[in-house]
Amino acid sequence: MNVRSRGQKLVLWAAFAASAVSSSAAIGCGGYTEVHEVIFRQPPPPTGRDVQVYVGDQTPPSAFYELAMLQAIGFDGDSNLEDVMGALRERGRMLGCDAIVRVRVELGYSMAHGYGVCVKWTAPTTKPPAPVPVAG
Amino acid sequence: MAFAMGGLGCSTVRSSAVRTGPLNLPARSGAVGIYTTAPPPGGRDLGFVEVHAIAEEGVVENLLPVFAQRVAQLGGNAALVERVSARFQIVNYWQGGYSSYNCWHSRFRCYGSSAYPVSQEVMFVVMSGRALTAPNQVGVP
Repeated sequence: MNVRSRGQKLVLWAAFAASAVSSSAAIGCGGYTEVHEVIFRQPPPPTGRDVQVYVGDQTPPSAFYELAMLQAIGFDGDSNLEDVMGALRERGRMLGCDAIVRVRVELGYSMAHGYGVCVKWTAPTTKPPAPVPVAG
Repeated sequence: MAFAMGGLGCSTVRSSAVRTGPLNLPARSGAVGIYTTAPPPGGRDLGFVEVHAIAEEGVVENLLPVFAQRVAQLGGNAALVERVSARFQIVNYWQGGYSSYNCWHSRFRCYGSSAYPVSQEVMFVVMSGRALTAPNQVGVP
């Protein structure tokens, strides 16, 4: 009796799990993106300008200083290059970045990961503000 | 895996630091300057550092302080984060539970266990780079 009911329950659970997987695949639209950051310097007010993106070892055209380290993680429907890049760019715009450099994105099946460094162009005569040190 | 470790209250943040080159400085305490695009001027290499974690712990806010600690352990005052990358893996496991129900034609309670297969995608995030010692280190790249 006990063994039989346990077996029945196992089949039921397997059927439930299978139906849950198929229904989520059928719906498959929802998604969200998390953005994480470590800010090195007090960010300036947003400029309203579009944030440029430089992937990998691409060299930006101007000298710059680093404002923050940005990370975006897209889940489910947002696990794609566009949503992850869009999240990095939007956060960069809010932080007042001129560009996001060293960008790299990795894609999984239901998750995507993006990383980049938010930078501000250095005017030839200005010195970047002091950074916020990280305790060792 | 992360869910199981999380359930047990274990952190998935792991790190390692390996000394490289001839320079051998004692561990230090104090602030570590963070660089993400280029090493500080005059910086000298002390070693290689990596920090990794799984799932929700694999975020830069968690990884960077551990990275800085490892740099300080190698005697460094500057950390160059060269790479933050992720890889993904589908993990299959059995999830089980216990339940109780009314026994058939009886006033007694029966107890049983059940298990069902679960597949979950897990993200591993790795932060890697170098520990350096730099003169006049104030953290300005």
